[in-house]
Amino acid sequence: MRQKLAGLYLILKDIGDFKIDSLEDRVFTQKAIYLLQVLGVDLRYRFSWYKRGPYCRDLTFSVYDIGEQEKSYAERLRLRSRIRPALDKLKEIIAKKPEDLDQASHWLELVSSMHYLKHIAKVPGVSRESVQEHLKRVGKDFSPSQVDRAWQVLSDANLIDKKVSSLVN
Amino acid sequence: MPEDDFGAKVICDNVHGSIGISRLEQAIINTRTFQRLKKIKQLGLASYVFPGAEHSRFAHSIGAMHVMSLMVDQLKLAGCPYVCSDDTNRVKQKLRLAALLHDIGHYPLAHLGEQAFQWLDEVQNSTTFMESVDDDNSDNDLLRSAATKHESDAAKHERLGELILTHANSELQSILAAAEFDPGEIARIINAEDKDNPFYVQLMSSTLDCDRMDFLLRDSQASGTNFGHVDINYIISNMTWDAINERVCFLPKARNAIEHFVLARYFSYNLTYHKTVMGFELMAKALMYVMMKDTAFDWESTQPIVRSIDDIRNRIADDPEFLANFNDEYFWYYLEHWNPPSESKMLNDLRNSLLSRTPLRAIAEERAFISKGNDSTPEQFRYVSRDLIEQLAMNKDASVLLKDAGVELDRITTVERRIGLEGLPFSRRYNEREPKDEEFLKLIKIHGRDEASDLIADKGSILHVLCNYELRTVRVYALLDKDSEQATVLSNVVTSLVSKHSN
Repeated sequence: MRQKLAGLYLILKDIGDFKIDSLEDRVFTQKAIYLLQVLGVDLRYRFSWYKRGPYCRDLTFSVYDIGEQEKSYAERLRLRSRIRPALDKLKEIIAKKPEDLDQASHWLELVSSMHYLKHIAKVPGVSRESVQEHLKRVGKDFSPSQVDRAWQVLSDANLIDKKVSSLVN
Repeated sequence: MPEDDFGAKVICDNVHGSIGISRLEQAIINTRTFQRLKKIKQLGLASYVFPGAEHSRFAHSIGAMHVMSLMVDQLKLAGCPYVCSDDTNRVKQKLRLAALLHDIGHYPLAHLGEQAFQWLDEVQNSTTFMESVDDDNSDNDLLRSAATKHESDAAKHERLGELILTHANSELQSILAAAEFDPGEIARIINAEDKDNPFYVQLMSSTLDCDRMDFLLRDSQASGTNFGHVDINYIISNMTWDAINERVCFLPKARNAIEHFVLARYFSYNLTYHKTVMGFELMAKALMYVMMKDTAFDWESTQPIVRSIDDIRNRIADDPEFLANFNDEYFWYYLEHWNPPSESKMLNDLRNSLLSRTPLRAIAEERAFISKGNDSTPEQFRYVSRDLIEQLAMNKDASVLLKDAGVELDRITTVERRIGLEGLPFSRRYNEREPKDEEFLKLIKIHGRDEASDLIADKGSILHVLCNYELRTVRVYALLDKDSEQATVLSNVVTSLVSKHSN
């Protein structure tokens, strides 16, 4: 377990600061790990839909369980170079946050939710329009330009057509 | 398929009495793959404390099939259209098969072995994305890792069951296919993945499913504990069909019996979470994990020890007979033949202690009902939770006392367990449910005048109050020298830390 948590800590630190104090920090973590798994780094977390999109309870427990011991163990570990492309791609996605969205967590919430609705929930039609429509129905009030951008980002990352099979419980 | 085929043979069961089985079920029960379940105990190492708890997954599987059959018959009476059609008996047979085969993928020592394999898979998976900068692969947090719940979908027993049912060489696959049943569909029903038939999920994987209804009675009877005297026949005879939402539900008069069932389920955790049973199970889990990882363990055998989930897949594909011996005895066989590295005194002590029935000692325990909706560990648990070892290491007086008594910190661990009532997910309160939230579909539903509603929404139900709480238990365990003062010293040190914290 120490190894798994230390690995998670290394990854979260690589993506940005490891912060879990606020709700937005935790939403960011959830969505970032979801997207990283979609990009091919399977950390074995399995997601289902919760209030703000893809959510994994075990991931919540894991981030709370990262303590000094795991952080110090992580100093003896390094991420393998083979996952670097996926991490870089995730950082590109994060960097493409529209200026009219305040928080990175909101941006990742939008991108990951669109991906989840299309690939996991498979909303009827699984088209861009049906995903957009479903987003509204679940109370996610993003502007059309934000939704456009999220779809484009998913498309640029080759995540619109790529099949995923094992990210849900 | 005629109805009377379900009575082609009759089995006498100590819990349910006579159980009729069909010829197809008989063929399945007779396979070596299914007979394997005779050698997997239902309750892992509980028999170390409750001598009668020697019952197997085999008997439980047949019992679950019987309960499923009772439920399908009742739904037919209640007018559920899915079991009233021309091919009713085909549907009934399919659901009975799912119940019969629901545990077919269990590992040696059941959930305990499953946890060891999940742990192994977690670690092996993590090496795909990170590596060590030094060569230190020591397991100095072995006990603490063993005390953690491990999650790996690939290593779940349901996934192994799916593989056993569907792989090309499977004897079960060929028997099912010959009878024109789709093994993949049976696996989906077992894994609650048949999205087209949500009521299958209710029958197979909910608070009141065929699995729980059987094991509650069976575990209670076998272990000699009396919590399980629940009238499941009364509950099933009050099962009905909510035609509006197409869900299984229960008549209001069954409410008390259902509440009794749910509370009995809560008390049943006294078996699995018994302090001594858990002490043995932590040891067995750690040892199973270490043996699989020990590359020096090349003891010659016709069957070398399994090294990974992929290894299991390959062996099943190469040799259908492999599964027959993949049972509880598999673990004990390897444990007898394994020589832990001589430099690891702890591994040697762990192995010898388990073989001579000396458990980890439970030194301290804290338990409380916690209101759900709070992800963080409550303050009152912090001193015996994951920080305990650090606190012991940092506290000068404690360190000296423990050192003098010969208690090493890597031999101490804390274990946290959470018990919830009803089928609510941990940390989720009932009022947080979302429409069509699948996790909430598994809740018990009571049929009102017009349509059904969740039992826990009823303010007159005891579950309405209790469902928003969970029992949190934290224990301190240690591997200590037998007949020494170590337990007393450690207990005093922990108590002292606790009182300091409380003040």
